[in-house]
Amino acid sequence: MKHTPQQGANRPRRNTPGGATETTPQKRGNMSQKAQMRIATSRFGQVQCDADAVLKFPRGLVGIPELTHFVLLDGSGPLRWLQSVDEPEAAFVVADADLFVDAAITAAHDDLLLIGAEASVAAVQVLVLLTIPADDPSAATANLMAPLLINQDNRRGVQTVLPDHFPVQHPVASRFCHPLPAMV
Amino acid sequence: MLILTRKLGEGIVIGPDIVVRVVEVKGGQVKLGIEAPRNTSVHREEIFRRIHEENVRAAAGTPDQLDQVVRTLRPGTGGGNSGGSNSGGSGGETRGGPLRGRKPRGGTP
Repeated sequence: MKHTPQQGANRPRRNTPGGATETTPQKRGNMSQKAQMRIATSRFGQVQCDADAVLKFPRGLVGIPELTHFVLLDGSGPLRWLQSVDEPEAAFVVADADLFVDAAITAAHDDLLLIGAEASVAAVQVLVLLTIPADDPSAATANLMAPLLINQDNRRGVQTVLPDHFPVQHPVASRFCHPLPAMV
Repeated sequence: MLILTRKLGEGIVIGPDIVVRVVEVKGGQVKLGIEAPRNTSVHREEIFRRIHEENVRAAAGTPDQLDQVVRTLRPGTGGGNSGGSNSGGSGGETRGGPLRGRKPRGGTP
């Protein structure tokens, strides 16, 4: 199936191909003048989204510090794309962590500080990255060890590493994952 | 590789604002304390490499694979419907909440 159009109020929207990546204020018939930006992507062509939908990951991802800005695009079913704004070819399939984790998780305090969620985690969204083998998508796995925490209030994110022993490759076809007891 | 000899309680300074200190030496294990700016990530090497590898692998997905992955999802996870309409929220409250912040494991500024 194709990448489906966006629906939510604050979600990025796909659009027709256009110019370079830049911020262009839109003045439409309605009163809204949200800044729009076009993002070049290798998978979806030019994508247009609200500039304030951009997620900022100050540290990038683990081992990939250069990717600091992303948008979320709809994928299929509960799967979405975390598309890099910085690098057209960098996009990750993500899903809500609670598809796979039936337990509260414990995030490092420093990571919560980084995204301004140390006082309250009410606005924190937890996503996991999926790895999909090219030769067998049904064997896809979810990285439960290093989920993404996104503070939806300020759109800052971090890839945290859980102290509990969640697997790096949890088969998406299997049941909920419960962490093993943490080792000291 | 730069190699330095340090005693218990001694440290090394990396760059302007990172300090690594020997906190405990016991048997074959050394416990290190690390002070670093919040924007600097600190990981055990093997964990870092494992997650980095997985992140690189995860970047290879293609749109045509998604439907097959969705069909694979365990029944009841919302696979195959709704276009992710509920996926923007924090969700999961019925199962006890997706995240519980806990007080620091390490030092805080």
